[in-house]
Amino acid sequence: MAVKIVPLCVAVSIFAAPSSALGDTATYVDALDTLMLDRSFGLWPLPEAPKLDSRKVELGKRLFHDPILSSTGDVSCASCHDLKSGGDDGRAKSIGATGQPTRRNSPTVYNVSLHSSWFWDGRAESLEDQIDGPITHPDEMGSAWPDIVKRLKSSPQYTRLFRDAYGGDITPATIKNAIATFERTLVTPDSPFDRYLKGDLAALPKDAVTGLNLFKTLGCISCHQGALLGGNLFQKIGIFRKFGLLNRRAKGGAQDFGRYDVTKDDADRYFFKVPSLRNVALTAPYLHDGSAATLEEAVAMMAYYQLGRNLTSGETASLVAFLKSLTASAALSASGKEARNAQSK
Amino acid sequence: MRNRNSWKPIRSVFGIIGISAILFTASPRLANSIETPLSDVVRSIGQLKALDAQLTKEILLLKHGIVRDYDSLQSITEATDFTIATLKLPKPTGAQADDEDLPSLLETLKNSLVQRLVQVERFKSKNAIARNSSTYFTYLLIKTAKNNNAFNLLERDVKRLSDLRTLMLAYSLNHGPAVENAFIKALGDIRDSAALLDQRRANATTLLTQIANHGEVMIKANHEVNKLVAQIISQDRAQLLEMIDYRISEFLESERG
Repeated sequence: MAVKIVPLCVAVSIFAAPSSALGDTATYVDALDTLMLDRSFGLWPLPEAPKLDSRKVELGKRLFHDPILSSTGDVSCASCHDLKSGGDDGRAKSIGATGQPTRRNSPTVYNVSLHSSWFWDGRAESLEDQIDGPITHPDEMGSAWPDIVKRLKSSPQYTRLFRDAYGGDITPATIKNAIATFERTLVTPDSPFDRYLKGDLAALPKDAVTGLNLFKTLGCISCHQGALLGGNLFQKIGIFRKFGLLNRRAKGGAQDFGRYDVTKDDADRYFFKVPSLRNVALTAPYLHDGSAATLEEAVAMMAYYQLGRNLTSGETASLVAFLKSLTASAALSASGKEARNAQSK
Repeated sequence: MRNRNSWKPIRSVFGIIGISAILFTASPRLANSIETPLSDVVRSIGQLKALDAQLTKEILLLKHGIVRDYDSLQSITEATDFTIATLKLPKPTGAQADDEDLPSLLETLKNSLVQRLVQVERFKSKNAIARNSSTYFTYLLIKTAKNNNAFNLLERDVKRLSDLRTLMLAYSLNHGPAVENAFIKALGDIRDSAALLDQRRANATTLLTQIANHGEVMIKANHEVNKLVAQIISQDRAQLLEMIDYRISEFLESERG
């Protein structure tokens, strides 16, 4: 509660200053600076991964990596959500069982259980519901539940694993629950930023702290807040400028109406779920259409469309330094990029 | 040998249980009032009232920037969703069957709560824009105040920015039409200033345009946020909850009586 009260007090001191102080810019500036010093500012460390039934987790992990779920037998959940690649596949659009590109960019599966809704347009309201989408979509795994159940029932190994975890019940519900249970363990706490939020001020390098302050003052934090720095609201892409103006690659994305496809409400046109920024340095390319190839490009595009401004190269570099501090060691070591980063240094 | 008196309390307990069992079988109406089906509805209404109050509090804290993240809303909306899904009347019996309004009242309540969850989603989006524009707008005003010279501003524009800062303070305390109109006029003056500057003052033009843009977006977003907050914390819903609660209590009373 104290954390919540600090911004209130400072805000009051800014806006309720006596008239004699109105001309005193220094007071105004000091108050705002103090507000910016509030480290959390609506950002929270990630919780630890929950301890769940290890039999369900193991079964879910196996299913997640097994192409048995796809109609052609060669695409698994991990094909588009590779844990060794930041939890996505590094492509602008994923390639499904039919060889066709998916409609939108695949998000990372790390920390997926902490989102408030799933898919870019929020059409799934639970992690279990979300699993239906890629498994049955013709351009993704193109499967049907009765076929999946049949294939799993014919496998002695899966029969044994389902007996241990669910008393032998092999149904769409238990399959989804197993995969969701595994995904609930994919939480990545302990990034440098988490340690900074917990009081280790040396955990962030100086340029990342500059980036964090810019992140607050420019207003990125208005949407990218909470423990995930996003993932808990929808926002229109193109608040200040129409999306697709800046680069040609985004022109296709500009035809995507986002949440409107789910609600059919005109007010939801061009609204997409605000993605989480956790481990964002490992998940290029970016945006719903994968139109930003690098983190620098994504930051510049967001500033242009969402904040109505062009960033200097220094501002972009600082913001990118901050975003890199959101990479957790668990995601980094899984990706093997830790060794490569060390080598490059 | 056990004292005969020590059996007395045990005999009383068995006696009470026995009488209760007879009453249950003999009077289905009484049994219904104690059984859980309608109690589930009562409990759900109680939960919805508590969630309603919690949501109102969170929305107001978020609107005023005291809470800055939307994580806290997640558990409230999930619980509301769950309670709506499980909220249904048991098969009508006795006096409940006479209360024809109750099913339609519950349906109205459910629709209203579902509608509110949509409004909460909208609120998050609009509030984020309002908070962003307000923070960045304030930041730009401060930046100009600190570095008038760096932006090569004309004296006229320095004066207009100073007026705008004062009005921003007034606007942040009072969104009334008089203050808002003065604020909008001041933003228009800033936009005029940007249009009047020549190419040698490109930095100042960009800055003034940004200030006008963010100020206007902030006012629009504030309007939308205020409208949504009014809908979300509407007293109609609270009254509907109270009315249903009262009807059910009345029914339960009549059943007990």
